[in-house]
Amino acid sequence: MRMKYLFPSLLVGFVAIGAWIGFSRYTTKQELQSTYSSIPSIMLTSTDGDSVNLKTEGDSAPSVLIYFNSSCPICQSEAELIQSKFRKDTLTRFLWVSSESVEEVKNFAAHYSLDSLDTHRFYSDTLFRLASAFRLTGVPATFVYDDEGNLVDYALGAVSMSDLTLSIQKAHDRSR
Amino acid sequence: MKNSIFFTLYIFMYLGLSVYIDYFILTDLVYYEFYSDKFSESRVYELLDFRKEWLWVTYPIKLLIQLIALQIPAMLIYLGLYLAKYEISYRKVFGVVLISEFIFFIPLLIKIIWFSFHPVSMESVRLFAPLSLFSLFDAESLQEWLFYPFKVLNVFEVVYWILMAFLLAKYLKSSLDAMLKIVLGYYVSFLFCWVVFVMFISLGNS
Repeated sequence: MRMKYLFPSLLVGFVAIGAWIGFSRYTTKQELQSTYSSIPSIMLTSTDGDSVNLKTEGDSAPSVLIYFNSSCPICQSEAELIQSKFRKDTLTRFLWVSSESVEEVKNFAAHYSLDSLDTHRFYSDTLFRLASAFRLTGVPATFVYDDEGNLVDYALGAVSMSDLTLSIQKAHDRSR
Repeated sequence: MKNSIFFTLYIFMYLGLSVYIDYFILTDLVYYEFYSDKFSESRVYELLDFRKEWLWVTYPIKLLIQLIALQIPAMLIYLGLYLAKYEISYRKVFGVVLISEFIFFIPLLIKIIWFSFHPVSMESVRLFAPLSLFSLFDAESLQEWLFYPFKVLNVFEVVYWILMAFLLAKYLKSSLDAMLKIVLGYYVSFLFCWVVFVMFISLGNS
């Protein structure tokens, strides 16, 4: 008699584990989304050596916030693709933040010819303020915000350019 | 025919079809188109070189996983038969499952034929599920978490259940009805729970 109920009980347990994993993933994702919901108000160092507030930098225009590291191959790919796909986009602001020194950040911007573009701004965050505000553990991380600084979309890891284009479009649509 | 002949044939067919799909359907060009949206050209070439060099390693791993996966229906049906007090060895149950598994080569062959005459992209291959519930819907109108259950529910899966029940009935000289009850009660109920399990996880990611 016991054996008869063992199998269905195991199946129910299995489904319950799935539900629990799914629910935990969902709540984690919701928590992350609320953490990323707006550009954090943190002080960073610009390539000129000035101290700037990231929130203010992202104000009044749809922005793409990219947390990167110059030695990361995926970040290098992302910079190359963004340079080629969005170099003519004058309406979107690209905020590049790295935990490296100002010199390293400058070299990265120059290497991908992004330093000459007005819409691309680079910041050094050697105190890991962005990483701790957003609880980031890896690079790259890409966040798209509308002109009021509200999150539109985000991607942790490699981002597809077609998805990024769509998210930027969405940010512009929301900003109208 | 002995189990070992079916087993060898299964391994050859599984590896043969996998190699054909990897080398003639999912070509470098398909991968290039897919990755060029995410990575720079030089990085894509590096990835393609890496794939070329290490693709062979995936075959023994895939085969091992497949052979482990084959044990699941065999163990479940064996459990069902054991609890229903039928006298049969695990080896015979595994043989039945192995023979029935050949049915799943048909969708693979359909995939190969289809993509030999139609343009291939990673997305089109991902969304290709012949004779399934999924194929009746427009993928864009479906939520991502419904993809898996709708793909699993296909004609070949149902034929697989019936074929297993039929072969078991033949071996045990029992009725098809009784064997269908075992297959539905132990394997299909597990499959249903597995699909729900995957759905919950996909929902968590959506």
